[in-house]
Amino acid sequence: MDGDLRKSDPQFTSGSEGDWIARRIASAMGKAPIRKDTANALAEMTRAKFGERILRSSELSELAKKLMAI
Amino acid sequence: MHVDRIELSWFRGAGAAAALDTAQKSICIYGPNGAGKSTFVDAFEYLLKGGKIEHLSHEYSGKRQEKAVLNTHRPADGKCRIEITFAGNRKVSAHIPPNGAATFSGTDIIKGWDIGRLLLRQNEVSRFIHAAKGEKYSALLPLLGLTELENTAVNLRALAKAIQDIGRMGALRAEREALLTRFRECFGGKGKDAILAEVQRLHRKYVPNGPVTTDIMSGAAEIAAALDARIASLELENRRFFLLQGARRADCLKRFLSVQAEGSKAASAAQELVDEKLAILNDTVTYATKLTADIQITCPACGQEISSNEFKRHVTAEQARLSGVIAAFNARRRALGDLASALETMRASLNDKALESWRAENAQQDVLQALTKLAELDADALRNTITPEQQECLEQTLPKLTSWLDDALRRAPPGAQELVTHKDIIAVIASVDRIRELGERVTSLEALHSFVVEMEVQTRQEIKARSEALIAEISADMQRMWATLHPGEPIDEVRLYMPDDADKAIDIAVKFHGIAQPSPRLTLSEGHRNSLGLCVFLALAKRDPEQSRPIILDDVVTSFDREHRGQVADLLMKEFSGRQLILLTHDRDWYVELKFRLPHKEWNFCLLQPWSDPRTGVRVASSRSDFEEAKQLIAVSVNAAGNVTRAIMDVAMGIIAERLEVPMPFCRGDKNDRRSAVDFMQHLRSVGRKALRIRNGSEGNYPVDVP
Repeated sequence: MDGDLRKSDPQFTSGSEGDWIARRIASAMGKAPIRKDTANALAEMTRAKFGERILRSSELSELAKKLMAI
Repeated sequence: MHVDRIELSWFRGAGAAAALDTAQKSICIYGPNGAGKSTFVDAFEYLLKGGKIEHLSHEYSGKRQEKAVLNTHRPADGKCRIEITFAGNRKVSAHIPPNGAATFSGTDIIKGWDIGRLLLRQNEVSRFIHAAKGEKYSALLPLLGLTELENTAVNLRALAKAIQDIGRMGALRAEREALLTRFRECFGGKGKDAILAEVQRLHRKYVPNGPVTTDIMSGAAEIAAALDARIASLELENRRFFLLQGARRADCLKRFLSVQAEGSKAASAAQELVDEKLAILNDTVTYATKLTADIQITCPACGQEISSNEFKRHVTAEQARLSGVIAAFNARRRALGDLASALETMRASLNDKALESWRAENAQQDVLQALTKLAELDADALRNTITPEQQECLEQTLPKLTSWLDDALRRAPPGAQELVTHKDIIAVIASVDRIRELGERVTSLEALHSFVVEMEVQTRQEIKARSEALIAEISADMQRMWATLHPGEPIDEVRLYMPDDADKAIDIAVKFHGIAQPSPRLTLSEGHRNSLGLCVFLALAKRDPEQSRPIILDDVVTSFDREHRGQVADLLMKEFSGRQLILLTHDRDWYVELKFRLPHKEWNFCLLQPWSDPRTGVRVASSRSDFEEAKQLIAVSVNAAGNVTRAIMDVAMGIIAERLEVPMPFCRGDKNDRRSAVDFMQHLRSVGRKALRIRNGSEGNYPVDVP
């Protein structure tokens, strides 16, 4: 772990829903700690891709590989 | 964005031209049954849903509902068309050709309009009340604006599963566990020093001229190289032993038995599911073509009416259910792969030239036959599937070969067994790096997996927190509306709530005569349930972010008694002043009552003429049927003015008679609705005479003259 995430971290505060994603990512970090850059990547995916529609399994596989490669 | 005018041509019940003008005010439309009121509502829904009408989504309506949307009696040159004009002369229209492939224009005006908050039909009033908790959740989620969060939660769950599958977490854990088990078997609870001492002992034996090793791993590597060199230099007899040892260690028989066990598990897991899935598949094929956005379909799995989005969620759930079977098949495939590799190892060992003469000298005839059969087997093909013939071949050959190898290994040359044991010890020590590597990989994957799972949990908590906040606001609106509709009644505290025992569920609670009830279905009458359904809809409509959109209520008070219908007028005035409402009713009395009670500054009233035939279609009456119209008609035609006045009186007297509780004899058919003012007056007079007789004690002694 290279530092705790905070709501005020700039990467989590952009966008209209940034607040809830930041809050929940920080809370998830408290319960299931992970590297900060991985958490950043998941936050970014959540913000950019997950809300719009239910993704196909091939799309999710790509995203899983990206996270695993970090 | 108030509606100004709806124009229809050969759409549903409309003939060549049917138009409804609202003058951008709220409007109450009365029409007897079958007059075509809902044709206007259908037109609205058709435009909002991009060419679909929910109640027409059935097997008879055609792929694009063309069999139901186009007037059945339109002439050859009759063009089917809808046009709705909104404030500012902004128009949305649809041209619908005979094949139903409509072309739309101006739809950007209504983009994002949520029909669930704008339109309520008679048959939908209590649908929400009767829906299951999960269905209520699915229905409310988009209205609460939480669809994005729900999508996020679903995607996070699938992402966690993808990490598990792609990372082969199960396989890596199993490999690490197997290596650890071997290590524990070999060294038990020995510490690092004891292992180093063992390495140094073997190092002295096999690398006698080298310096004393102080590092476990490098020492083990030197010993392994020395052992390999020593085995390679062994005499033929010893080399044969190692080849036989290699063949036996491949343990083909064990792996074959494992294939059989996994095959049996997969078969039993699959059988029931395959039967079920085949039946579902047949239904799914029928419905697959309807999987466009926002249509209602019957779920082939549960038989309930659901939206296509909900159907997709069902499919996702089915995929999750299938994962158990998929895991069983994967396990079988892995077992087949292991068997194929083991067979290759065994054959390579047994076919080694070093064993050629030895094989001929020692093996019995049936073992030689088994070896020949095994040599003919396509081991690579085994990685995917195993045929009954291959299975039979392995059943016949492997037990014999295993027993023969065990026999041969019992006669190991002196010293050879010790080399094998030492080689094993060194292999176990060498596996420490792999154990560490696997441990790191599994820990990293588990951390990622747990984090994504936790994020889904967090998202669900976010949904719940937001839902509860919104639900509390909506519940407050519902309670206020309910109190307006049912003042002083012993049913109160109506509210939406999220049950603690379910993740994705919403239900309605009420207090019935002081006792809290978890569902209105337990105690409420149909009328009250419908009333509650109306409150839920109106509370949600009130939350529409764009309050200039119209609300359409199509015959929603059918099951209400007169008193509660009267309260609906109060409710609409109190809660929706300034919002455009389009009310449609076939209840003439309610229409007249609304006409008396609702402010004409904000409301228009309109009558539809009784239906005659599909070519004529829906007809909006030109008469306004009010005293103002009658007054204007006096100059033109006294008879016409009298007719309008009589029509007004016919309805008004009905309401007055009911309020005075004047009993009216029941008439057959629709005559109850066609009583004239004269009928009411006659009964009123009759009841009045009787009442006065009772009051004065004697007939004929009237304090006032009763006409």
